[in-house]
Amino acid sequence: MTRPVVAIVDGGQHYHHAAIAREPLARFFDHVVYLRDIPRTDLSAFDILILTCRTNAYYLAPLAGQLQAFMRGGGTLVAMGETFPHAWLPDIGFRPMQTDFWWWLEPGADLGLRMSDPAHPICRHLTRDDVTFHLHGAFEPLHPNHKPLVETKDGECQLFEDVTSYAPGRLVATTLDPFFHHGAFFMPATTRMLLGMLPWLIESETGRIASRAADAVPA
Amino acid sequence: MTRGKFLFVQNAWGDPPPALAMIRGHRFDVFQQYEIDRLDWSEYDAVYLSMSVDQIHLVEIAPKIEAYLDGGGALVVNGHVARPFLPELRRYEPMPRRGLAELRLRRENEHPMFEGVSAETLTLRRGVAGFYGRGSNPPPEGALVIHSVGPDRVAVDWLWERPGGGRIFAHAGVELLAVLMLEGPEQGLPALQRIFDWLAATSGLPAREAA
Repeated sequence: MTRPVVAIVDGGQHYHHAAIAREPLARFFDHVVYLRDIPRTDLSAFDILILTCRTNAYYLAPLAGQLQAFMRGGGTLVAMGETFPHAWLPDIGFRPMQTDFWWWLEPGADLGLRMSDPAHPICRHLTRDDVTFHLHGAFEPLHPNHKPLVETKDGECQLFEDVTSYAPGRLVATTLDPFFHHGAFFMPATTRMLLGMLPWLIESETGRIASRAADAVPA
Repeated sequence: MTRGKFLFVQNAWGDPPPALAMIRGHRFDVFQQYEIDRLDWSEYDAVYLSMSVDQIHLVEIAPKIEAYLDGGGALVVNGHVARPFLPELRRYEPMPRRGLAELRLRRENEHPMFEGVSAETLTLRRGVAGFYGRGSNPPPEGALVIHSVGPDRVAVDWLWERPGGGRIFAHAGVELLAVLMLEGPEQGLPALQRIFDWLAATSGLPAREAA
C-alpha cells in the first residue's frame, strides 16, 4: 500500500520548530515547508498538508486559492487550532470562546469534550482524554458537509472532517491547538492528541489513496 | 513620566493582547511581522517581539535588528529561542519535567521593571506553576539575570547591555503581555506599566523633542 506523503508548515514560531524537528513527532513528517515558501511549492507532491497551530491567518489568506486547489487535486488539508480557516475558506462558521486554563483545578471537573461518533475510525486513535485540555472556539454554525468528530457536551464542534466540499480531497479542521502547547513543552495531553491524530490522518489517507487507485482501474 | 514609543511585532490573526490598550502614557505601533522590514525603527524606545514571531524571518533581518540596537535601541524577546537570530541568543533549553515544586521562580537580582511583584507571585498563576517559565534562553556571559527557575536556577528573564550599544531583555516563557495578566488587570497592569515605563525612562535613543 502507498504510504501518504505528509508535509507540515513551519511558520517560524518557536513552538512550530520544537514540535516539528524533535521526536516524538518528527518521524511523521516527510517534508517541512516554510510558510513563505508555500507560493513556490508544488503542493501536489503531498497527500497531507498540515497547517500548524497558530500559523498566521493573515498570511494564509492570500494562499487560499492554492490550498483549495491542493484539496481539489485529492490532498488532505489539516487546519489546526488558531489558524482560523473561517477567515480564509468559504462556508466555515466560527465562534470564539473564552479560554479557561484552570477548569481542571476543581475536583471532579470535566471540560465536557466527547468523541462525536464512537464508530468513527478516529476513535481507534483518539479518546476524549487525549483531546481534553482547553477550548478556544467552536465551528458554528456547522456546515452540513462538516462531519463533527470532537465536540462539547452541548454539541459545539471542535474538530471536523469534510470529504465533500473539495472532493476528491478533504479538509480536516480543529479549534484545538496541541502543536502550540506540545511545542512549548507544556500540557502532556496535547502530545497525546498529536500521537493519536497523526496516525489517524495517515491511516485514513492510506485508505483514501487505495480506494482512488481501485476506482481508477478500468473495469 | 517619559512618554515612550514602542513597536509591537505581532504574528497572529486578530487583535494584539488586550493589555496593550490598557497601558498608559505610551504609544504602541502594532504591525504584523512581515511589515516591519520597511519601517524605520530608529524612533522606537523598544521593539517588542511577541512570543509567536517567525524566527526564520528574524534571522533574515538580523542586520536591521543589529543596526537598531547599535543605535541605542532595546529589544524585548518573548518566548523560546529556536533559531538564534542574534549572536547574543542561544537556543532554548527546556527543563526536564521534575514536578511542580521545581517550577519555582527565584529573583536573582532586583530590577525596577519588577518592583512590587514577587517571584512567588509569578510562580503561581491562579494556583498553577509553569506559565511564566519552564526553561531558559541561555544568557550571554555577564547578563543581568532577573528571574531563574528550578533547582539549577536557569535564567528565565535576563537583561543584556550590549557593549556596542542597545540592550536585549529576554523572557523565556508565555509572553509578558499575557502571562502577567493571568491573575487579572489589578495585578497585571501595574507590572506591565512598570516594564514599559522603565524602558521609556531609560531609553538609549538620542533625546528627542517632547511629544
